[in-house]
Amino acid sequence: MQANICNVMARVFNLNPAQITPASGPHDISTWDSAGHMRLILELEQEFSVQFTDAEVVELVSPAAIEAALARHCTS
Amino acid sequence: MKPITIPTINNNDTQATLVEWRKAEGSVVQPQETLAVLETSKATFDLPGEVAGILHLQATPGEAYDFGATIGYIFADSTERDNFLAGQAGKSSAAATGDLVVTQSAQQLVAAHGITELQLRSLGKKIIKTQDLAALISATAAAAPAEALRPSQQQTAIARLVSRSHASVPKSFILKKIICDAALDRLTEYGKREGLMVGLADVLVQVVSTLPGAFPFFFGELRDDLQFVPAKTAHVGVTFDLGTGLFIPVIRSAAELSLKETAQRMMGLRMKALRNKFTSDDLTGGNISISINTDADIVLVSPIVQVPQTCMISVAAVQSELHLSAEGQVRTRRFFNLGLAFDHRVINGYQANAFLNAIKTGLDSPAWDAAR
Repeated sequence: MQANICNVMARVFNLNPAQITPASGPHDISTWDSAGHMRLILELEQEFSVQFTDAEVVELVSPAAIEAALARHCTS
Repeated sequence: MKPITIPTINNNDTQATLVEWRKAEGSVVQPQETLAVLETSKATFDLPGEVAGILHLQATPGEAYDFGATIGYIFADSTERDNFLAGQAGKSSAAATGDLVVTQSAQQLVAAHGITELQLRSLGKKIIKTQDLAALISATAAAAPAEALRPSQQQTAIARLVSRSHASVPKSFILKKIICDAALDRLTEYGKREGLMVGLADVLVQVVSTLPGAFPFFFGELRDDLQFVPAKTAHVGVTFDLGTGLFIPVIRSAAELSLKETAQRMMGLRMKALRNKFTSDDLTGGNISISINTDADIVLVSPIVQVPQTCMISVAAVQSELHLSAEGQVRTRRFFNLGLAFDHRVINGYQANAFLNAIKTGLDSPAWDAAR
Protein backbone atom coordinates (compact mmCIF):
# COMPACT_ATOMS: atom_id res chain seq x y z
CA MET A 1 0.00 0.00 0.00
CA GLN A 2 2.88 2.34 0.87
CA ALA A 3 4.25 2.03 -2.67
CA ASN A 4 0.88 2.87 -4.17
CA ILE A 5 0.58 5.90 -1.90
CA CYS A 6 4.02 7.11 -2.95
CA ASN A 7 3.10 6.62 -6.61
CA VAL A 8 -0.02 8.74 -6.19
CA MET A 9 1.96 11.41 -4.36
CA ALA A 10 4.65 11.38 -7.03
CA ARG A 11 2.01 11.81 -9.72
CA VAL A 12 0.24 14.66 -7.91
CA PHE A 13 3.36 16.54 -6.87
CA ASN A 14 5.37 15.76 -10.01
CA LEU A 15 8.15 13.94 -8.18
CA ASN A 16 10.16 10.74 -8.53
CA PRO A 17 8.61 8.14 -6.16
CA ALA A 18 12.08 7.41 -4.83
CA GLN A 19 12.22 10.96 -3.44
CA ILE A 20 9.29 10.29 -1.14
CA THR A 21 9.86 8.87 2.33
CA PRO A 22 7.30 7.83 4.98
CA ALA A 23 7.91 11.18 6.71
CA SER A 24 7.65 13.38 3.60
CA GLY A 25 5.15 16.17 3.96
CA PRO A 26 4.26 19.74 3.11
CA HIS A 27 7.41 20.87 4.93
CA ASP A 28 9.70 19.29 2.35
CA ILE A 29 7.56 19.09 -0.81
CA SER A 30 7.25 22.61 -2.13
CA THR A 31 4.22 21.88 -4.33
CA TRP A 32 2.27 20.44 -1.39
CA ASP A 33 0.19 23.51 -0.65
CA SER A 34 -3.55 23.59 0.11
CA ALA A 35 -4.49 23.24 -3.58
CA GLY A 36 -2.01 20.38 -3.98
CA HIS A 37 -3.47 18.77 -0.88
CA MET A 38 -6.94 18.80 -2.39
CA ARG A 39 -5.64 17.17 -5.58
CA LEU A 40 -3.87 14.54 -3.48
CA ILE A 41 -7.02 13.74 -1.50
CA LEU A 42 -9.10 13.34 -4.65
CA GLU A 43 -6.47 11.11 -6.28
CA LEU A 44 -6.19 8.95 -3.15
CA GLU A 45 -9.96 8.61 -2.88
CA GLN A 46 -10.13 7.52 -6.49
CA GLU A 47 -7.16 5.17 -6.28
CA PHE A 48 -8.32 3.41 -3.11
CA SER A 49 -12.10 3.79 -3.54
CA VAL A 50 -12.59 5.49 -0.17
CA GLN A 51 -13.95 8.84 1.00
CA PHE A 52 -12.08 10.54 3.81
CA THR A 53 -13.85 12.54 6.49
CA ASP A 54 -13.18 16.27 6.93
CA ALA A 55 -11.30 15.57 10.16
CA GLU A 56 -9.08 13.04 8.38
CA VAL A 57 -8.39 15.19 5.35
CA VAL A 58 -6.53 17.86 7.29
CA GLU A 59 -4.31 15.24 8.95
CA LEU A 60 -3.20 13.32 5.84
CA VAL A 61 0.16 15.04 5.67
CA SER A 62 2.58 12.15 5.21
CA PRO A 63 2.59 8.70 3.56
CA ALA A 64 2.51 7.19 7.04
CA ALA A 65 -0.58 9.17 8.05
CA ILE A 66 -2.27 8.32 4.76
CA GLU A 67 -1.50 4.63 5.18
CA ALA A 68 -2.95 4.62 8.69
CA ALA A 69 -6.15 6.30 7.50
CA LEU A 70 -6.53 3.89 4.59
CA ALA A 71 -6.02 0.97 6.94
CA ARG A 72 -8.87 2.28 9.12
CA HIS A 73 -11.15 2.53 6.09
CA CYS A 74 -10.23 -0.96 4.88
CA THR A 75 -11.02 -2.56 8.23
CA SER A 76 -14.22 -0.60 8.92
CA MET B 1 -56.17 29.44 0.94
CA LYS B 2 -52.50 29.68 1.93
CA PRO B 3 -50.05 30.83 -0.77
CA ILE B 4 -46.78 28.90 -1.14
CA THR B 5 -44.01 31.44 -1.70
CA ILE B 6 -40.30 31.28 -2.42
CA PRO B 7 -38.56 32.36 0.81
CA THR B 8 -35.57 34.70 0.91
CA ILE B 9 -32.83 32.12 1.07
CA ASN B 10 -29.66 34.16 1.16
CA ASN B 11 -28.31 37.62 0.45
CA ASN B 12 -26.47 36.70 -2.74
CA ASP B 13 -29.44 35.61 -4.79
CA THR B 14 -32.79 37.10 -5.69
CA GLN B 15 -34.24 33.99 -7.29
CA ALA B 16 -34.44 30.26 -6.77
CA THR B 17 -35.08 27.54 -9.31
CA LEU B 18 -37.89 25.08 -8.67
CA VAL B 19 -36.09 21.77 -9.09
CA GLU B 20 -39.10 19.54 -8.53
CA TRP B 21 -42.41 19.21 -6.77
CA ARG B 22 -42.37 16.45 -4.18
CA LYS B 23 -46.15 16.31 -4.01
CA ALA B 24 -48.62 15.95 -6.86
CA GLU B 25 -51.34 18.41 -7.81
CA GLY B 26 -54.39 17.90 -5.62
CA SER B 27 -52.63 15.77 -3.01
CA VAL B 28 -53.35 16.20 0.70
CA VAL B 29 -50.31 17.63 2.53
CA GLN B 30 -49.40 18.10 6.20
CA PRO B 31 -47.52 20.94 7.96
CA GLN B 32 -43.70 20.68 7.58
CA GLU B 33 -44.03 18.10 4.85
CA THR B 34 -41.59 18.76 2.01
CA LEU B 35 -43.54 20.18 -0.92
CA ALA B 36 -40.75 21.08 -3.32
CA VAL B 37 -37.00 21.25 -3.82
CA LEU B 38 -35.52 24.65 -4.60
CA GLU B 39 -32.06 25.56 -5.79
CA THR B 40 -30.13 28.80 -5.57
CA SER B 41 -26.75 29.44 -7.11
CA LYS B 42 -25.13 27.92 -4.04
CA ALA B 43 -27.25 25.13 -2.66
CA THR B 44 -30.44 23.15 -2.83
CA PHE B 45 -32.97 22.91 -0.04
CA ASP B 46 -36.38 21.52 0.77
CA LEU B 47 -39.42 23.78 0.94
CA PRO B 48 -41.77 22.63 3.70
CA GLY B 49 -45.48 23.40 3.79
CA GLU B 50 -46.82 25.57 6.58
CA VAL B 51 -50.36 24.25 6.86
CA ALA B 52 -52.37 21.13 6.15
CA GLY B 53 -54.65 21.04 3.12
CA ILE B 54 -54.97 20.30 -0.58
CA LEU B 55 -52.06 21.25 -2.79
CA HIS B 56 -52.37 23.28 -5.99
CA LEU B 57 -49.27 23.76 -8.16
CA GLN B 58 -48.74 27.03 -10.00
CA ALA B 59 -45.10 26.80 -11.01
CA THR B 60 -43.09 24.73 -13.46
CA PRO B 61 -40.01 22.72 -12.45
CA GLY B 62 -36.86 24.05 -14.08
CA GLU B 63 -38.05 27.66 -13.99
CA ALA B 64 -36.51 30.37 -11.76
CA TYR B 65 -38.76 32.44 -9.51
CA ASP B 66 -38.10 35.60 -7.52
CA PHE B 67 -37.91 35.37 -3.75
CA GLY B 68 -41.45 36.12 -2.56
CA ALA B 69 -43.11 34.75 -5.70
CA THR B 70 -46.16 32.55 -5.24
CA ILE B 71 -45.63 29.09 -6.72
CA GLY B 72 -48.74 27.37 -5.45
CA TYR B 73 -51.51 27.28 -2.87
CA ILE B 74 -52.72 25.02 -0.10
CA PHE B 75 -56.51 24.98 0.16
CA ALA B 76 -58.31 24.24 3.39
CA ASP B 77 -60.77 21.88 1.67
CA SER B 78 -61.95 20.69 -1.74
CA THR B 79 -64.71 23.31 -1.93
CA GLU B 80 -62.20 26.13 -1.65
CA ARG B 81 -60.03 24.48 -4.28
CA ASP B 82 -62.93 23.91 -6.68
CA ASN B 83 -63.99 27.56 -6.38
CA PHE B 84 -60.45 28.70 -7.09
CA LEU B 85 -60.09 26.44 -10.15
CA ALA B 86 -63.47 27.55 -11.47
CA GLY B 87 -62.33 31.16 -11.20
CA GLN B 88 -59.13 30.36 -13.08
CA ALA B 89 -61.05 28.62 -15.85
CA GLY B 90 -63.37 31.58 -16.19
CA LYS B 91 -60.56 33.93 -17.02
CA SER B 92 -60.11 34.82 -20.66
CA SER B 93 -57.68 32.70 -22.60
CA ALA B 94 -56.66 35.74 -24.58
CA ALA B 95 -54.53 38.61 -23.35
CA ALA B 96 -55.11 42.23 -24.19
CA THR B 97 -52.28 44.60 -25.00
CA GLY B 98 -53.99 47.96 -25.10
CA ASP B 99 -56.48 47.64 -27.97
CA LEU B 100 -54.78 44.46 -29.27
CA VAL B 101 -56.04 41.02 -28.36
CA VAL B 102 -53.58 38.10 -28.58
CA THR B 103 -54.90 34.54 -28.38
CA GLN B 104 -53.34 32.22 -25.84
CA SER B 105 -51.50 30.07 -28.39
CA ALA B 106 -50.25 33.22 -30.09
CA GLN B 107 -49.04 34.55 -26.74
CA GLN B 108 -46.82 31.49 -26.39
CA LEU B 109 -45.22 32.18 -29.77
CA VAL B 110 -44.80 35.86 -28.92
CA ALA B 111 -42.96 34.94 -25.72
CA ALA B 112 -40.88 32.19 -27.35
CA HIS B 113 -39.67 34.40 -30.20
CA GLY B 114 -39.34 37.67 -28.31
CA ILE B 115 -41.82 39.51 -30.53
CA THR B 116 -42.44 43.07 -29.37
CA GLU B 117 -45.74 44.95 -29.09
CA LEU B 118 -44.52 47.29 -31.82
CA GLN B 119 -44.06 44.34 -34.16
CA LEU B 120 -47.54 43.06 -33.31
CA ARG B 121 -49.04 46.45 -34.12
CA SER B 122 -47.18 46.49 -37.43
CA LEU B 123 -49.48 43.64 -38.53
CA GLY B 124 -52.40 46.11 -38.52
CA LYS B 125 -54.82 43.69 -36.85
CA LYS B 126 -56.95 44.02 -33.73
CA ILE B 127 -56.91 40.29 -32.96
CA ILE B 128 -53.64 38.41 -33.36
CA LYS B 129 -53.79 34.67 -33.98
CA THR B 130 -51.05 32.08 -34.41
CA GLN B 131 -51.14 32.17 -38.20
CA ASP B 132 -50.69 35.96 -38.16
CA LEU B 133 -47.27 35.57 -36.58
CA ALA B 134 -45.53 33.48 -39.27
CA ALA B 135 -44.00 36.43 -41.07
CA LEU B 136 -42.83 38.06 -37.85
CA ILE B 137 -41.24 34.84 -36.64
CA SER B 138 -39.33 34.41 -39.92
CA ALA B 139 -38.09 38.00 -39.76
CA THR B 140 -37.09 37.66 -36.10
CA ALA B 141 -35.21 34.42 -36.78
CA ALA B 142 -33.36 35.93 -39.73
CA ALA B 143 -32.32 38.97 -37.69
CA ALA B 144 -31.33 36.98 -34.62
CA PRO B 145 -27.62 37.07 -33.74
CA ALA B 146 -25.65 33.91 -33.06
CA GLU B 147 -26.87 32.09 -29.98
CA ALA B 148 -25.39 33.66 -26.88
CA LEU B 149 -23.72 31.61 -24.19
CA ARG B 150 -25.51 31.91 -20.86
CA PRO B 151 -23.44 31.91 -17.67
CA SER B 152 -24.33 29.28 -15.10
CA GLN B 153 -26.90 30.14 -12.47
CA GLN B 154 -24.12 30.43 -9.92
CA GLN B 155 -22.14 32.81 -12.12
CA THR B 156 -25.30 34.82 -12.70
CA ALA B 157 -25.60 35.23 -8.93
CA ILE B 158 -21.96 36.34 -8.77
CA ALA B 159 -22.74 38.83 -11.54
CA ARG B 160 -25.58 40.31 -9.48
CA LEU B 161 -23.36 40.50 -6.41
CA VAL B 162 -20.47 42.28 -8.12
CA SER B 163 -22.80 44.57 -10.07
CA ARG B 164 -24.54 45.56 -6.85
CA SER B 165 -21.20 46.16 -5.18
CA HIS B 166 -19.85 48.29 -8.03
CA ALA B 167 -23.09 50.26 -8.23
CA SER B 168 -23.40 51.03 -4.53
CA VAL B 169 -19.97 50.95 -2.87
CA PRO B 170 -17.47 53.79 -3.31
CA LYS B 171 -14.55 51.45 -3.02
CA SER B 172 -10.99 52.30 -2.10
CA PHE B 173 -8.09 49.92 -2.05
CA ILE B 174 -4.85 49.72 -0.13
CA LEU B 175 -2.02 47.22 -0.54
CA LYS B 176 0.68 46.32 1.93
CA LYS B 177 3.78 44.21 1.53
CA ILE B 178 4.11 41.64 4.30
CA ILE B 179 7.49 40.02 4.91
CA CYS B 180 6.50 36.57 6.09
CA ASP B 181 9.58 34.36 6.61
CA ALA B 182 9.10 34.14 10.36
CA ALA B 183 5.38 33.42 10.13
CA LEU B 184 5.85 30.76 7.44
CA ASP B 185 8.65 29.08 9.39
CA ARG B 186 6.44 28.96 12.47
CA LEU B 187 3.59 27.65 10.38
CA THR B 188 5.75 24.83 9.01
CA GLU B 189 6.87 23.93 12.52
CA TYR B 190 3.28 23.99 13.76
CA GLY B 191 2.11 21.74 10.92
CA LYS B 192 4.88 19.22 11.59
CA ARG B 193 4.28 19.28 15.32
CA GLU B 194 0.53 18.86 15.07
CA GLY B 195 0.49 16.62 11.97
CA LEU B 196 -1.78 19.04 10.14
CA MET B 197 -2.19 20.61 6.73
CA VAL B 198 -2.23 24.24 7.72
CA GLY B 199 -1.62 27.36 5.65
CA LEU B 200 -1.29 31.10 5.75
CA ALA B 201 -5.01 31.54 5.06
CA ASP B 202 -5.86 29.62 8.23
CA VAL B 203 -3.66 31.93 10.29
CA LEU B 204 -5.15 35.01 8.65
CA VAL B 205 -8.65 33.88 9.62
CA GLN B 206 -7.39 33.50 13.19
CA VAL B 207 -5.70 36.89 13.26
CA VAL B 208 -8.59 38.76 11.64
CA SER B 209 -11.03 37.20 14.10
CA THR B 210 -9.29 38.99 16.97
CA LEU B 211 -9.87 42.47 15.54
CA PRO B 212 -13.59 43.41 15.81
CA GLY B 213 -13.07 45.20 19.13
CA ALA B 214 -10.33 47.47 17.80
CA PHE B 215 -11.85 47.95 14.34
CA PRO B 216 -15.64 47.84 14.70
CA PHE B 217 -16.39 49.42 11.30
CA PHE B 218 -14.65 46.54 9.53
CA PHE B 219 -17.03 43.89 10.90
CA GLY B 220 -20.73 44.33 10.36
CA GLU B 221 -23.42 45.57 8.07
CA LEU B 222 -23.83 48.96 6.40
CA ARG B 223 -27.47 49.63 5.67
CA ASP B 224 -28.79 51.69 2.80
CA ASP B 225 -29.49 54.62 5.15
CA LEU B 226 -25.79 54.61 6.16
CA GLN B 227 -26.58 53.20 9.56
CA PHE B 228 -23.79 50.80 10.47
CA VAL B 229 -24.55 47.75 12.62
CA PRO B 230 -21.32 46.41 14.13
CA ALA B 231 -20.83 42.71 14.76
CA LYS B 232 -19.87 41.49 18.20
CA THR B 233 -17.84 38.59 16.88
CA ALA B 234 -16.13 37.85 13.59
CA HIS B 235 -17.84 35.53 11.14
CA VAL B 236 -15.21 35.34 8.42
CA GLY B 237 -16.16 34.57 4.82
CA VAL B 238 -13.38 32.96 2.78
CA THR B 239 -13.31 32.65 -1.00
CA PHE B 240 -12.84 29.23 -2.52
CA ASP B 241 -12.62 28.75 -6.25
CA LEU B 242 -11.37 25.27 -7.03
CA GLY B 243 -12.66 25.22 -10.58
CA THR B 244 -16.19 24.31 -9.55
CA GLY B 245 -17.31 27.92 -9.11
CA LEU B 246 -16.65 30.75 -6.68
CA PHE B 247 -17.94 30.15 -3.15
CA ILE B 248 -17.62 32.32 -0.04
CA PRO B 249 -18.43 30.05 2.92
CA VAL B 250 -18.28 31.47 6.42
CA ILE B 251 -16.15 30.45 9.41
CA ARG B 252 -18.51 31.40 12.25
CA SER B 253 -17.27 32.66 15.60
CA ALA B 254 -13.74 32.26 14.30
CA ALA B 255 -12.21 33.77 17.44
CA GLU B 256 -13.40 30.79 19.46
CA LEU B 257 -11.44 28.33 17.33
CA SER B 258 -7.87 27.14 17.77
CA LEU B 259 -5.63 27.19 14.73
CA LYS B 260 -6.11 23.43 14.42
CA GLU B 261 -9.89 23.81 14.47
CA THR B 262 -9.71 26.65 11.95
CA ALA B 263 -7.56 24.51 9.65
CA GLN B 264 -10.05 21.65 9.98
CA ARG B 265 -13.00 23.93 9.19
CA MET B 266 -11.21 25.44 6.20
CA MET B 267 -10.29 22.03 4.83
CA GLY B 268 -13.85 20.81 5.35
CA LEU B 269 -15.12 23.78 3.35
CA ARG B 270 -12.64 23.12 0.55
CA MET B 271 -13.89 19.54 0.35
CA LYS B 272 -17.48 20.80 0.23
CA ALA B 273 -16.51 23.13 -2.61
CA LEU B 274 -14.94 20.24 -4.51
CA ARG B 275 -17.87 17.92 -3.83
CA ASN B 276 -20.51 20.61 -4.39
CA LYS B 277 -21.95 19.94 -0.94
CA PHE B 278 -22.48 23.44 0.39
CA THR B 279 -25.70 24.21 2.22
CA SER B 280 -27.29 27.63 2.46
CA ASP B 281 -26.14 27.78 6.09
CA ASP B 282 -22.47 27.43 5.06
CA LEU B 283 -22.70 30.44 2.77
CA THR B 284 -24.51 33.05 4.83
CA GLY B 285 -23.86 35.17 7.90
CA GLY B 286 -20.40 36.55 7.17
CA ASN B 287 -19.52 40.03 8.42
CA ILE B 288 -16.06 40.31 6.84
CA SER B 289 -14.42 38.37 4.01
CA ILE B 290 -11.00 37.27 2.84
CA SER B 291 -10.25 36.69 -0.83
CA ILE B 292 -7.58 34.01 -1.09
CA ASN B 293 -5.58 33.99 -4.31
CA THR B 294 -2.39 32.19 -3.46
CA ASP B 295 -1.79 30.33 -6.70
CA ALA B 296 1.78 30.80 -7.92
CA ASP B 297 2.71 34.21 -9.34
CA ILE B 298 -0.48 36.04 -8.36
CA VAL B 299 0.85 39.41 -7.28
CA LEU B 300 -2.17 41.61 -6.66
CA VAL B 301 -5.87 41.08 -6.09
CA SER B 302 -8.33 43.95 -5.74
CA PRO B 303 -11.50 42.32 -4.39
CA ILE B 304 -15.02 43.67 -4.38
CA VAL B 305 -16.77 44.62 -1.17
CA GLN B 306 -19.60 42.18 -0.50
CA VAL B 307 -22.60 44.37 0.24
CA PRO B 308 -23.63 44.93 3.06
CA GLN B 309 -20.14 44.24 4.44
CA THR B 310 -17.71 47.15 4.50
CA CYS B 311 -14.44 45.59 3.43
CA MET B 312 -12.73 42.58 1.94
CA ILE B 313 -9.17 41.47 2.56
CA SER B 314 -7.11 39.91 -0.23
CA VAL B 315 -4.12 37.63 0.00
CA ALA B 316 -1.84 37.01 -2.98
CA ALA B 317 0.84 34.37 -3.52
CA VAL B 318 4.01 34.20 -1.48
CA GLN B 319 7.00 35.43 -3.47
CA SER B 320 10.74 35.51 -2.93
CA GLU B 321 13.05 38.45 -3.44
CA LEU B 322 16.61 39.49 -2.81
CA HIS B 323 17.25 42.15 -0.21
CA LEU B 324 20.14 43.78 1.56
CA SER B 325 20.41 42.68 5.18
CA ALA B 326 21.35 44.99 8.05
CA GLU B 327 24.88 43.60 7.76
CA GLY B 328 25.06 44.56 4.11
CA GLN B 329 24.65 40.98 2.85
CA VAL B 330 22.39 40.00 -0.04
CA ARG B 331 19.76 37.59 1.27
CA THR B 332 16.48 36.11 0.07
CA ARG B 333 13.24 36.67 1.88
CA ARG B 334 9.60 35.80 1.33
CA PHE B 335 6.68 38.18 1.21
CA PHE B 336 3.09 38.43 0.06
CA ASN B 337 0.83 41.33 -0.79
CA LEU B 338 -2.05 41.90 1.58
CA GLY B 339 -4.85 44.03 0.15
CA LEU B 340 -7.89 45.68 1.61
CA ALA B 341 -10.85 46.90 -0.45
CA PHE B 342 -13.02 49.08 1.75
CA ASP B 343 -16.20 51.13 1.63
CA HIS B 344 -15.05 54.73 1.80
CA ARG B 345 -18.36 55.82 3.31
CA VAL B 346 -17.37 54.35 6.66
CA ILE B 347 -13.65 53.58 6.46
CA ASN B 348 -10.84 55.96 5.55
CA GLY B 349 -7.31 55.24 4.42
CA TYR B 350 -5.80 55.89 7.84
CA GLN B 351 -7.99 53.24 9.47
CA ALA B 352 -7.45 50.85 6.55
CA ASN B 353 -3.70 51.13 6.97
CA ALA B 354 -4.02 50.61 10.72
CA PHE B 355 -6.14 47.52 10.10
CA LEU B 356 -3.56 45.97 7.78
CA ASN B 357 -0.84 46.85 10.29
CA ALA B 358 -2.82 45.02 12.96
CA ILE B 359 -2.99 41.94 10.74
CA LYS B 360 0.74 42.20 10.08
CA THR B 361 1.42 42.46 13.81
CA GLY B 362 -0.94 39.56 14.46
CA LEU B 363 0.94 37.32 12.03
CA ASP B 364 4.12 37.95 13.98
CA SER B 365 2.51 37.56 17.40
CA PRO B 366 3.17 34.41 19.40
CA ALA B 367 -0.53 33.87 20.02
CA TRP B 368 -1.81 32.03 16.97
CA ASP B 369 0.27 28.87 17.13
CA ALA B 370 0.01 28.51 20.90
CA ALA B 371 -2.00 25.48 21.95
CA ARG B 372 -5.58 26.34 22.90
